[in-house]
Amino acid sequence: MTDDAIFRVENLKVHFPILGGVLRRPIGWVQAVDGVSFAIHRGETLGVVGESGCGKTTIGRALLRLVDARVGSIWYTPRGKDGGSPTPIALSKLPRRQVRALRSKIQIIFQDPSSSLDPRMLVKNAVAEPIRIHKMTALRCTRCERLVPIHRERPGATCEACGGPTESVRLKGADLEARVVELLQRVGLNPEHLFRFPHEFSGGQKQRIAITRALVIKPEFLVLDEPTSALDVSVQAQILNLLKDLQKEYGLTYLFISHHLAVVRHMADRIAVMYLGKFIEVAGKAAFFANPLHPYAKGLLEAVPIPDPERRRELHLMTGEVPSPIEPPLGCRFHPRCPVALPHCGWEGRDLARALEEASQAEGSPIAGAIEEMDSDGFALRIRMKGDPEASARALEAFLEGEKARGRALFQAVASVASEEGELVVRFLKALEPELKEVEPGHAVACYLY
Amino acid sequence: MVDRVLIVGGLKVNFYTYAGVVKALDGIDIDLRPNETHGLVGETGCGKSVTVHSLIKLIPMPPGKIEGGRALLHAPVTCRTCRGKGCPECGGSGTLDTCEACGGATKCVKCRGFGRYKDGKSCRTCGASGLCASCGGSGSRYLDLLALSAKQMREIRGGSISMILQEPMSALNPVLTVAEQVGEAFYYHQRAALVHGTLAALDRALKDIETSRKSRWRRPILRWYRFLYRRMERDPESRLLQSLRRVPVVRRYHRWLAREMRAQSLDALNMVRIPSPEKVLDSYPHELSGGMMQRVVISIALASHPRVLIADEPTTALDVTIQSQILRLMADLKGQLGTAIIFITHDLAVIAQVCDRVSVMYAGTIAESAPTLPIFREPLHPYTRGLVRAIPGPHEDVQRLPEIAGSVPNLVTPPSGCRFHPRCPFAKAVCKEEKPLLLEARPSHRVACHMYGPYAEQWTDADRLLPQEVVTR
Amino acid sequence: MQPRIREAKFGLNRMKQNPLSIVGLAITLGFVVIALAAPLLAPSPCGRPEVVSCNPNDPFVMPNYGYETEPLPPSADHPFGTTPGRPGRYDIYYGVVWGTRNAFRVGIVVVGLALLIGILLGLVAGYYGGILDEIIMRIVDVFLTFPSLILAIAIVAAFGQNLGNIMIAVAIVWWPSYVRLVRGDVLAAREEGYVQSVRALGASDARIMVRHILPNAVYPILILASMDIGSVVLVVAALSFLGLGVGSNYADWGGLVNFTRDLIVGQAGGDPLAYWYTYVYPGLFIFLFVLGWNLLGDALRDVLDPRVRRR
Repeated sequence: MTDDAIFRVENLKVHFPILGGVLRRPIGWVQAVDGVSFAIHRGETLGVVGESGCGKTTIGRALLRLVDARVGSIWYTPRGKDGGSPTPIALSKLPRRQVRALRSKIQIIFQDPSSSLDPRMLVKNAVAEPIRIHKMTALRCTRCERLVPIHRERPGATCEACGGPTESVRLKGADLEARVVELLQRVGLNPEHLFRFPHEFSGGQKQRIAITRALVIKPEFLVLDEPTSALDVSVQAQILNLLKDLQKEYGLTYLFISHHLAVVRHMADRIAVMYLGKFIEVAGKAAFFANPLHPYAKGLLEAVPIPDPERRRELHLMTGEVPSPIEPPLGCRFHPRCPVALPHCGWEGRDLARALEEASQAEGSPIAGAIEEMDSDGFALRIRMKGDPEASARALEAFLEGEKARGRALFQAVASVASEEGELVVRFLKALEPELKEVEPGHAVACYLY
Repeated sequence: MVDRVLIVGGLKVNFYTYAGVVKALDGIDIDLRPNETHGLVGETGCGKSVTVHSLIKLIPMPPGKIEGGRALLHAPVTCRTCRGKGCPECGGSGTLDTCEACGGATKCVKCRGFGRYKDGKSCRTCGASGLCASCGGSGSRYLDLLALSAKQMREIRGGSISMILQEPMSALNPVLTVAEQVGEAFYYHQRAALVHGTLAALDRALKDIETSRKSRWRRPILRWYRFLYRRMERDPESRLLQSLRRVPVVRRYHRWLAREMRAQSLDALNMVRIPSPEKVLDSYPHELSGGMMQRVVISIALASHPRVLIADEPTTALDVTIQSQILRLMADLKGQLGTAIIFITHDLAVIAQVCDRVSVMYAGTIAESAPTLPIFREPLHPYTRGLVRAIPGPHEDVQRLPEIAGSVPNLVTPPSGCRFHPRCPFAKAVCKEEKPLLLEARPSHRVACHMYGPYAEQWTDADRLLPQEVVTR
Repeated sequence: MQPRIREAKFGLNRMKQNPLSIVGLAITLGFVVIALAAPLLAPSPCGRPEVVSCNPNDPFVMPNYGYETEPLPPSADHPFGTTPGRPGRYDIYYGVVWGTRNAFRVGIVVVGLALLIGILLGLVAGYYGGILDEIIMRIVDVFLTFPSLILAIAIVAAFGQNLGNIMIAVAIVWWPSYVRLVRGDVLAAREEGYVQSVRALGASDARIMVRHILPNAVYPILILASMDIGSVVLVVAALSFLGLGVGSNYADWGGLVNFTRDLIVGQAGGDPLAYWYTYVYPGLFIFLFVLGWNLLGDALRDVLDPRVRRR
């Protein structure tokens, strides 16, 4: 493949074990990332959007090998040295020590700047640390002893100030400090900030320090995990502008993770919407905002408040809350909350159980008191009757027919109703998860509507 | 209908710390109208939380100290002669609503409405305005929140003024069930209604016994309970009854009240649209999701039908879809209960969607205060302008977000004069010397900026108004 | 470095606010002065006629003033009186002054040793978790099941009664509790944001442990350790009192009290408090020493506890 994909991810799954029982064995898995495939091209910003708990942070960490993938592969293609042809590296299978060496190329900025800096380290040491860890070198002019700025480092470069030849030196002592100062000034801080502790700075300044720390080792790829969510609007503007400038100057590629659609719109070239561990829509920025296809993406966009009091909308409310990633809904993961769900979107026992419970609690419900206990089992629901089994079963069946006639997708999806062992068993059509399909060039969606 | 529910004037709060005196609030003026949602916007550290916390005296008093100002809450009392039923004394409304100080005359008592004394000095009580300081010149009955005793303030908190905070997880006690916590709110603030309901339930039970002639042995017990509750009706705070709760066996009388509390709690949960409220009542907070917890917190806050609800960043910690649900809920409930809301946030987009009026705060001062539309269409104060332009909207593309240069000042050594002058692109010499007052530049639109005050000639009209290009969204 | 000085000043200011911490600081500093100035305060009297036996090379060996068993009350020659050793007669003043220096030596060495082992094992156990953690914690559990004093006695009795063995014995008894504490703090620090950040930067485990987790987790231990210096001295004194301390003529507070076991209730038929000076002075020194370190530990907690700091 000779495209300029810097990262290629195939079927990535990151599951966290839930340990339980006496022997602390895994009794369940939190399916944080459940089968995600994408590619990031050099120089672009890929925005990953989703609500909390959808797994977007985990993707960022997986790319850095801060968490290990259970299944799937990550291919990383570093920039070829001296114009040579780059070879992809199987990042997911690399042993730990080699991963550490790569850490100088791939970096991450975390959400909360207050906790990402060691509170007992001076700023100077915090920023210098990556240089020390990776034993970075720099080009220094042999004549005037000045360092070549980091974004203009090229083999054989000449000193900008005096035109003299440069040599490669290990960054130590005064050189180290000079490089730290150079970068701090680039992000808008002063040299006297070197000798302060993190807690003496504001949120925006701390985030700048974190950015400096990541940049000082010349990475080519940066994961930005909600970098401005903890900051105020005005500071956010400063940081986002800074990030954009740095991307141009240093030739960086970004993975921008956020739950704030407006911010992602400003920063990203392509957008991927994530829900419960899967990408449900991937598109170019313009295409996405002009015409979001997936109902969840539409709902997300409509829920974002517009800062314009004249365009107050009737906030179109998505019902319910995000389900737990331990046992995600079967079929299309969004179907329980989807306003336009179809019968074959993957209705299952749990959905019917919830609907029946609500219905039986309503005033004057025909099935009130008919249900003793319900047990959902994948695509089936077993109902144990209360009172007279014949009468209750009939009431339930009538109810199901009635709702089906009313056109509710959940009830239209019922495949069979049978009486087994004194219980009423309702079975649904088995449905698969919709695949991410390209509907228009560059615009893919995972939804049965298309 | 009274003009203002809450009047805050000239509120000054200092914090005496090791690092120096933090002049957190430097003369805050807020007017809260009945049933309005008033947004309080500003960056971190500008003093929004300090403002509302000082109103109900929740700031730590060493090192904090309320240096001056007034905070008046409209507080009509039930007419004692008729007990709220209506009589000639109170004019049939059941409530007394005349200012105690001026008797409804709206004139300042000290200077008799002239604004100055006989010797020419301006009256300090009313600030030379001539209006009664205790009612802000409205003539209605107001309560000075800053002058209340600890006991009175405890009744106000959660009663007339409720507050909901940012993190619903921390607001709820993790070892108590939802029923216990919501019930507690009713117990402390709606005791009369609870007792009333209990008595009704007891009467029903007694009538049942009469008609069905079953379990007649319970009659004397129920009569005893009814006696106790009638006692409680007359004296809700009765010490005797409260101490009876500690005596085993006798304390069973409380169960009837507890049942009523549960019924009211159920209603409260239904009001905030929580699904399966019965189950939720018996759950612990950690078993609920963030959105549900925030709804529970809202129901606790609204249990007492407060006049003012203070919402301190209630949706910042929630997902955007849940946020929209909660905002809609609050808007509906406000209409139902007739509560005025002070909505604190740093997210201007939320303000645009839910607020009627907005006050913009900067470094402990109010920069601008106006209805929502003018704030976005015609932001007068340079800081407001900067804020409005710095928001990325989800519906347009801008290459670079406009920034406000500089950063928030250190409040131990705040800038002299106008606190925004070091960052203001329009600052002139007078801005450094004199602090601008919050004056009305347009009808109902107040700004604290010299460009619109007595020194306005120093600027041209071009400086003042926002160019149209940013306005079209 | 300017900021570190600022931090120190802030800390000292906080200390000033609590009068007890000033008392603790004063007491401990006083003892430090005594220990440092021991040669000046109680110079070796070897060579003087009244001294029967004396060791000029080791000032910790108390000079012997004779073999009479009757203790002498305080006088010009013996400011705190004398005490009947086995054998010999020793000057209490000399004993407590040099005992101060001995106490510091013992306290610091024992606590230092215990800290070293405890921090090392605690760091490793907390950071790596898993099997390593389990093994280390089980070993700690084994040690903790022994009553500390008995274990110390057993080791000393088995390996011989000299100062070195005593210090090792007490250190062995002491380190398990540090491991637990360090491990707990390391477990908490391990999840902090900056540890993740630095790991993402490519730092090795060793670097993270030493440069990041340790400085942030070590403060509670240091506070405990400072209080433990006093406790260690108490334990060693107890050992000496039971007769398992260093040799009978060694300048050790506990040893001094050891001599007075028979004298505490006075001679038969006489005034029970006749020989008060033999146990009051050494006892007073022990008491004040432990008190001083405890108060100092409290003061340090006020200063160093990040939760209490207004930052």
